[in-house]
Amino acid sequence: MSSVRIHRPKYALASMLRKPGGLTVADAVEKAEANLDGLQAEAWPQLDAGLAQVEAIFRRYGETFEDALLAEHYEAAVRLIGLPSLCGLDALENAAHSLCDLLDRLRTTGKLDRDGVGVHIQALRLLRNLPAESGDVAEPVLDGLRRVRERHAILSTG
Amino acid sequence: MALEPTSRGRFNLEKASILMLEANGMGMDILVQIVTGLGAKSLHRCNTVEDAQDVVRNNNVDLIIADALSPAGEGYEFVSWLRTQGGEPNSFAPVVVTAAHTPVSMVQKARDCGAHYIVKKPLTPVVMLERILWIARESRPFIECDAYVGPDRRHKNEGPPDGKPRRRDDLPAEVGIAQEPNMSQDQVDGLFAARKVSL
Repeated sequence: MSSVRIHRPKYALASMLRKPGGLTVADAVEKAEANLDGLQAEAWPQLDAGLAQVEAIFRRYGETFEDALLAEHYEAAVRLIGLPSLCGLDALENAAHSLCDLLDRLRTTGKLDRDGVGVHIQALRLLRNLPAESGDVAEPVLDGLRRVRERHAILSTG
Repeated sequence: MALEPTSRGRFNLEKASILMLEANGMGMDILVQIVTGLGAKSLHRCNTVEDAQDVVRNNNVDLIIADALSPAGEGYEFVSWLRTQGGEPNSFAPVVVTAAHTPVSMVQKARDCGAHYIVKKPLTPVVMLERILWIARESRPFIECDAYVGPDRRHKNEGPPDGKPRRRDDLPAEVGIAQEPNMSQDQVDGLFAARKVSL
């Protein structure tokens, strides 16, 4: 039987946080959000380059499952995460997560769903170009992507 | 409990030495803008696991924010290394792991790496601050055994995993036969009744 040591280390961080001075939660969050807004100009071209890369990889899909290609596609999709939110495109952020989930599930089950991935690629482009006030359009698109993902969740567990 | 973003409560991150591990340039920029906005001033920026290991060997760090890095999860391996070979006191340091997406194959590695929390991207200031404050407030025991080193993963009082006792102090899943007669209603009432005590 292996030995187990259980103890409670004291975190210096805990006492530092209580030191006088510092910031209020409200001021700190506001300042950090303003800092993030300053990154938007840099984020847009990276987002567009990332989307173009995801589309380019999809164009190389053949008729059979290729793990290396899906791995490359998954890595490109993961690199998108965080950029849409920075640009205020929350629906696009959700769609990028959905593509990551789908590609991961396809790699796990060894299946190819060209149509399912294709729907995601089209949705990414649509949501990228959607005006900010078009929440009504985004919702059914995201719902459709969820249904594609769920199809593979059922396949992978069944 | 969720942190209220409009709270007037104060905290001070000025003196905290924070190690940040993130390979992606924009990812690092996002993290830096968040933690500096929260008032942090002493930052160690590391793009690789090797850089982060050097910082751990040569400095005392109060908080580590490490990205999971590639789908192979080098970030999780860094946290495992920190817990087992990082040397005290850094091996006990609070760790928040950030992850854009956790592949199915990495879920166990993520759970068992020894991080306090795993935060899914996109990162937001309020969530990051909330996790930092949670770590500072909680008194989660630290477990060191052959299979795992890190904060106790059972911190939600949900009982043993799969309902099966694993630790010496876990109660059995089955409730046994009563060993003593039931208490009378008078005895139960007596437990709640106010009594005069002499101090």
